[in-house]
Amino acid sequence: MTGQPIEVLLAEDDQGDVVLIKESLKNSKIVIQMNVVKDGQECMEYLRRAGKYETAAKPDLVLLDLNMPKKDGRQVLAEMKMDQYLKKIPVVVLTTSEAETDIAKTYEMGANCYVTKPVDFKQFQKVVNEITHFWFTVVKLPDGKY
Amino acid sequence: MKNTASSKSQRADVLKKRLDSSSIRRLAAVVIDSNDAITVQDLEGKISEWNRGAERMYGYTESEARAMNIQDTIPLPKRQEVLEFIAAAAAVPSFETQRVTKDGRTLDVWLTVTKLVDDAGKTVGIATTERDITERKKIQQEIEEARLYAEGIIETMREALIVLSPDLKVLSANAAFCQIFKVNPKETRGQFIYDLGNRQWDIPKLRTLLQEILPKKNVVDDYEVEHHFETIGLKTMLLNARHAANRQMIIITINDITERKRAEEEIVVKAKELAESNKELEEFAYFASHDLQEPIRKMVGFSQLFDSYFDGKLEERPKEYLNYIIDGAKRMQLLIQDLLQYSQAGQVELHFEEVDFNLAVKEALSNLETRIKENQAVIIYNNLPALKVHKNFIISIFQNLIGNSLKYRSEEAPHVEISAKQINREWEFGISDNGIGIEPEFINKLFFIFQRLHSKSEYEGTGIGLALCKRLIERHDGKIWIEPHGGKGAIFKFTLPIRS
Repeated sequence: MTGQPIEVLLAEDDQGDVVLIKESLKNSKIVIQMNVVKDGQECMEYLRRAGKYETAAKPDLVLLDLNMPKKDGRQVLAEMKMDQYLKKIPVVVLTTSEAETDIAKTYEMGANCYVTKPVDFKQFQKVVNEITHFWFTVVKLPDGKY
Repeated sequence: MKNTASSKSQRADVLKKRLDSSSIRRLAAVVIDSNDAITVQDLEGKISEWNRGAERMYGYTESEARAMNIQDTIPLPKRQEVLEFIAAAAAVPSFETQRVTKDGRTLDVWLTVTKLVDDAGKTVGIATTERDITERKKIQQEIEEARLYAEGIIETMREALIVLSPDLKVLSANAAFCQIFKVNPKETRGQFIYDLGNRQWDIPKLRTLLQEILPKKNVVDDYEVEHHFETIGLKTMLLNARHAANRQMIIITINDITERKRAEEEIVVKAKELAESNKELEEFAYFASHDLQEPIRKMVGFSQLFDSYFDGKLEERPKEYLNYIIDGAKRMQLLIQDLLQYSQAGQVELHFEEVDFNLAVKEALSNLETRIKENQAVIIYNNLPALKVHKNFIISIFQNLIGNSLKYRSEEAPHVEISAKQINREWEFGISDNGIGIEPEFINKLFFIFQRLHSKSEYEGTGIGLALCKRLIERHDGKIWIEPHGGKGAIFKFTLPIRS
């Protein structure tokens, strides 16, 4: 894994949030290749390398917004966990409120962890960086093709 | 044989001829011992015979009576009666009159008068048979009063009442019945119940009651009948029915509950509307909390990005403007969060459970951990009770109050003491600190939402904390107040009732 950029799939429909997340990761020590999909359907197509995503790389981490059009984060998560290959990919759920966090907290949803999008950008930056630091330097990610 | 005066005296003559001394003695004994008063008087009223019955009734002995005139036993108004009868040639029919006893009591008597004639046929005196009917009259009067009383009740009562004979014909229908069911009283008596009001009362459920259920029971209560009457519309009624007077009568009272049922149904509808309205309110609160946060987040996030884009090269004024934008957005977010919390304090359905207050305080303290460490605060509490409360509210209350003690601290490290004592059916909690305290004139302001005594530059916060505490406590039917005291710092007190 060393030397290669980390592949992150961001499933987020809100353009503003995409910019904020991308900006937060800019100063990260780890080199991240950010791939963005804008709804749950595209997300599944990307993961399955279907259609225009034929040549997509396997994500090392998925940042998943809960509220998206077409398919929302919950459905994506459910589908990922049912697939024997996709279920191995760690997922961080992005929530916008305490209430949603409570829902995400019930790990019945199968998320690996959650983060509430904070109001403060600096905070957000810190949080996003902590996530990437955690997953990519501390945790040993499952290897292998799929 | 007709009982005329002549035939009566004819029989008497026949009887007299058959009398011999032994039968005379027997008859005399019967007369003397009779329970009725039997007397003989001459035409002037002088008493010549006075039997035991007369002695008992009047109280005069035989010897006393023989010295009297019968007039002494007759009350003044009645004195002419007998004389008139005697004067008349006709026989005297039995009649009711009054007499006076020796001790002055007035009796009602039933009087039979017989003329006594000599052999020549001349009237020489009268014999009277008197029966004391005072008691009987009294009973009759009581019966009459009872009857009038019952009638009065039946006609005054507001419930419809109807009395039927065993063959289901109407014996009587009270005024309420006729009024409620718009039936002509004259057209009720003698009618079959089912024929009433032009056969409007031919109701299947009524038939079931009268022909199947009631014959097997003595009393039937709360029998519900719903019927659409032609003249008065849909009525829902509760019937009580019972046999009376040795099953010679059926009494039915009818309670018109149409309005009550309508009101009950309306309550159900209104309750449903209220629940829906509450749900809408909660959804609105959720929207306020959730969807409004997002644009705020954008404002803050991009303002900060804007700032870092210029990488410290922004001039002082635009930077200051930018800071105000960011501060404004952050503050808006806090306010919305607090508003949501405040509205939920009123909305959330209470769920009471037994809560150990020591554990509740512990949880509040763990939520305040960072600030407690930063301020090097010491919080003391022990032996707090366990009460039936809504757990999260209690944790919030302690968190807010202790948080305030930390926030409004003095130079000394904050020292907070939590106490509890039971007063009758309530527990009184106290939270005292050594902070900056509260000026007495502002104490009342504090519990209003968003009221603050210090600017936000001095102490952060939206000013909702105490208003929130007040609401949470009041939802438990408790009270919260600030205890005035001489020393430094503030003492907050609140009560919570003991629930079973």
